[in-house]
Amino acid sequence: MTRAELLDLFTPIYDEFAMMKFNEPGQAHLGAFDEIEDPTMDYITNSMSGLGEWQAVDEDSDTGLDHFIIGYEKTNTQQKYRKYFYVSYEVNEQMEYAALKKKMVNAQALGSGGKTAVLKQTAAKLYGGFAAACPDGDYLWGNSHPKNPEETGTTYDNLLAGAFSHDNLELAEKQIADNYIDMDGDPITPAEKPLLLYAPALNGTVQRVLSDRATDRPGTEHRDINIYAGKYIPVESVYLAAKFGGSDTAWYIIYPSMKMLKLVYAQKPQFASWIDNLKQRYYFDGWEHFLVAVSDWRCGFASSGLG
Amino acid sequence: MKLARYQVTGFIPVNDAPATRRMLAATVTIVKGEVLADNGSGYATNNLTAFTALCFGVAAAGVVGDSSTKYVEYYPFDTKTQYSVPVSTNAVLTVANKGDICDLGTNADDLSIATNFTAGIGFRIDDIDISAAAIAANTYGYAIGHFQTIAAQA
Repeated sequence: MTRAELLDLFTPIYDEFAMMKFNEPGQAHLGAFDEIEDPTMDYITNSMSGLGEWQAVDEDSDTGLDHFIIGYEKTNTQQKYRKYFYVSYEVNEQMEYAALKKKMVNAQALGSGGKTAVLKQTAAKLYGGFAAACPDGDYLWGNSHPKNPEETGTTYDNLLAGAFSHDNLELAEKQIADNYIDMDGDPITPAEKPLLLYAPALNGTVQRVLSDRATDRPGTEHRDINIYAGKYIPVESVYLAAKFGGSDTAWYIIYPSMKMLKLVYAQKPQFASWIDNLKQRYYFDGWEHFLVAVSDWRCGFASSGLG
Repeated sequence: MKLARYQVTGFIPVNDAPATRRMLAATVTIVKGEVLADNGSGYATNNLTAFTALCFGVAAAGVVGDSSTKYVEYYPFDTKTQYSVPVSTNAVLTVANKGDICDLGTNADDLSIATNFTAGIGFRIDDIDISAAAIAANTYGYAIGHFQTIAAQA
């Protein structure tokens, strides 16, 4: 950028510029994702069954043989994200541009944009899951996930129904109990409090439903104890909001210990600066490589909040 | 016998399986559990809707054949190994089907109980699974049995 391009930035009529880059955005919903580093171009996921419940067999019998079943392969490819800028020697060397020198040469200011890309892509994987397939071919939040590639006649449903409410959470827990089942047909019982992810528009509703004294159910008249108090870890994320491409009504119950939602960095944010003596420019560059992957629908359950 | 798994297709061993052998696959996509036959040129094919004298085993693993480099591993037919298989035609299994020697169904990966061979290669039904879970997974249930070759009875 030349002085002319940046003229407004240094016109004496302004006493101050508010810099539109603030602190790095908070982690928000990233707790739902298993963050790892893998420097290869592709990150290929699959699942493998266990042997399931042991069978009753007869005496002097060799029945009971079983085999491991391989799940659904998915190849995820790294994507590069980048922002850079330059300033001319003149911008830096002449004293009237001291403001620019002070602020703009700080290449670390690029970093918050890198985190924004991560937050948006991870959020998109969640809210996009109502219409985007996971490795088994059904939507990530779908009602017909095959048990495994060999037993496709049995399906499971991780698409919850209805707006977030005490009643619908009760229905959701029943559905989870009936459908949170592994490739062998055995129930999955994670020993953790699941995350409850939602956009800010649902914050009031979520906080009321999860409060010690729920305001709708059970009734406040008798100050009944709410069975859902403390059962979930509520996580509000602005990146899930309709304003940013998501949904103001959707809610997600995620089990991070399953490690099936992946944030894979091939390269964490990198920064570089250099001088181009031919063009007489100072360059400042930031880039990263990452991908967001789902290895299996058993990462959790979700409702669009609509039906 | 209550099975532990209800595969949509294929003959899957439920007891100690024989050592596998391998054969070059024809230019076909073979799926685990399919009955294989010699295509007449020394390559394994799955293009079957009935047992023939060319049948030799059950695919132990899937492969996309190219008639030149890809081998399919298979369990050779024996009478000792028991397999489970979904019935594709033409009725729900009953106890009366035990002992029948049946033919392949609509493909090389399922069973028809419409026939009861008296000679040739067939799948002899030792047991059946028509539990609610079995019927839910496959309308006509699952047969458990072994392959048997019977010469014409004198």
